[in-house]
Amino acid sequence: MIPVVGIIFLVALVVGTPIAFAMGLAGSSWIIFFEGIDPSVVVRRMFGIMGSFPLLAIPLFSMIGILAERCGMLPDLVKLLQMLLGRLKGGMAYINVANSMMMGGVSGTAVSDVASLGRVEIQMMKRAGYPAPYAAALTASTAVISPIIPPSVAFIIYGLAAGGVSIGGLFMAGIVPGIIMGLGLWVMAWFKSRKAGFGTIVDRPRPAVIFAQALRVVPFMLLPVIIVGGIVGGVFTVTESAAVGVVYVIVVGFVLTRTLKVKDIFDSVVYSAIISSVVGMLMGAGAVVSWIITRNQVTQQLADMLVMITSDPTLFMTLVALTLILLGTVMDATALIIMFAPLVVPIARQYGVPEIQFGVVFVMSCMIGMVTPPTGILLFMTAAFAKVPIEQVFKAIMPFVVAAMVLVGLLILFPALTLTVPAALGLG
Amino acid sequence: MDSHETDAAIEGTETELPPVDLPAVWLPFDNGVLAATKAVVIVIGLAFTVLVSSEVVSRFLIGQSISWVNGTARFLLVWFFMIGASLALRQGGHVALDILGKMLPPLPQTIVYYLAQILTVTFLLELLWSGVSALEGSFPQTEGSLGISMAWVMSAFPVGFGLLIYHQIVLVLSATRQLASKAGRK
Repeated sequence: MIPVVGIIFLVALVVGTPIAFAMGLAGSSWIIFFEGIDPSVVVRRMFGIMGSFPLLAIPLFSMIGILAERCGMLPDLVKLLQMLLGRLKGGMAYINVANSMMMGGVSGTAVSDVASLGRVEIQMMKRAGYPAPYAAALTASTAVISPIIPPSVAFIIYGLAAGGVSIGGLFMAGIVPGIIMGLGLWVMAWFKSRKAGFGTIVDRPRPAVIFAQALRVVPFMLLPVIIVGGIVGGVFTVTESAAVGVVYVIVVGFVLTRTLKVKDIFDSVVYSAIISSVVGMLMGAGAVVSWIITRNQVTQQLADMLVMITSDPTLFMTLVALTLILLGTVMDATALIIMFAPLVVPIARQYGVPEIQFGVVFVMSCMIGMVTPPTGILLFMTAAFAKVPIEQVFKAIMPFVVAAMVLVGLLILFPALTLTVPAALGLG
Repeated sequence: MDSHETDAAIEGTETELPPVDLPAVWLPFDNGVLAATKAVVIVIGLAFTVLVSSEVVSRFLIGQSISWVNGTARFLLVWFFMIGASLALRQGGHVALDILGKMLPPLPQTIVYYLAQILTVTFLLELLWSGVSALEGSFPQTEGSLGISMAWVMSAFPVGFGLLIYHQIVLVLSATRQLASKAGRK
């Protein structure tokens, strides 16, 4: 009967039904009509995950992102980065990467990251005279790193979907790979700037001006310190850190900078509802499907099959990473995590793979798929924003895709890259 | 950075929903539904922000957490998702694959569009049914720390899926009227 679930799901998916609805349709049809189980099971499964405290962090983090933008914290940061890096050759490329490292990963899905932040970055790079395909490719590839640097909504989703994986541990595990990838993108931008002769964008401002601007950015720089520091220090949970973050931005915006209006707060909640309910629906539908998967011991069958192919954990992780990159080219990373983490994580445990290392490899692979030609969705978005033919972006993205794949390979081969920081902080 | 770029940044997070093509008598009602939905979402969102952050404060000040905060915040979250999902539907926010749509000629494209809508409505009806039957079972159950009936939270599902069905009908009707007027012009 399980193939029926798969067929309904695939048909619904291909004709363009939203992914969450397609999963829910397949799952609930199977439960209600094929198995004749009490229909209330479907909604009770959804409630189990949609009413979980860690999930509450997602709407809160989305609110922080919008509030920080509206009250001028993010524009101020961009301005400072421009002053510091703008006089370098290829400065806008560095700014793009630095920006994504600092503020990305908050909005829930890589797609909405690109839709809000990415659009601005592309416009800025084009205006500074960068080739549009390069601007589109660089922006798409920065979307790959922002979800692995804390605070990361992708890791919250993964931790919940996989069940029992420490979200704080995942946050910390993402730091080293995130920095490596960020530095890697910088080095690549440096080479590209030399070769293509990208110009500088501004003259060097007086130190006093830079200092004044740096002072304005201090409240924003404290935000990650509060969030990440609070989680690491055991002061509060991930969800609580997000709520404290919202209150912090509101207080700064009203009292310190006086740039926030009441309407901005209302807007942030509505926008957050739109963004995060998409994730909520996916989580709910995913819980229904994973209940069916567990009930039918699909995971065990898959595990038996995989063990016949290989008993080597490294090869197993490589297989999973490649499969996810492939699937990621046609599917949103959030949906991918919700669908496959419950299936694959128990198998990874059987292989003895550390679950935090596996989590980082898993999430990064999903993200890479989204920027891989010929179907990676982020490429289509950035190409549209940059107004260039998609084929040109395909060419420009390839060095980034290769670099990201090399990084995933390193993460698979060297567990220390992901495990050292969480272990040092006692979060492993 | 000049002011133009700041404007562009804000544009990306606009909360205005795309317009729909509805009969004139229906529009005020539809606007009312959307305004009410937004208002409820705002109240819920602010409520759980205050609840969760006040829990942190109380733990610092009195050294213990308030017992009912966690449960209440979780209940509010379910309502937030279930109500917010209809705004996301109107925004076109629910992620979908869009492979077939772009490749097909107009007529098959229309057929595929309606097939997707039928499947969506089927899903929503199944979940409405499931939601109603889960609600019926939840009246006698009480939530531990809150001491209130589980019906307070389980009712979010029939309400949410009911709203989604309404908005789905609006979207299909709007798209159909657009198609008809395009055909009429030809």
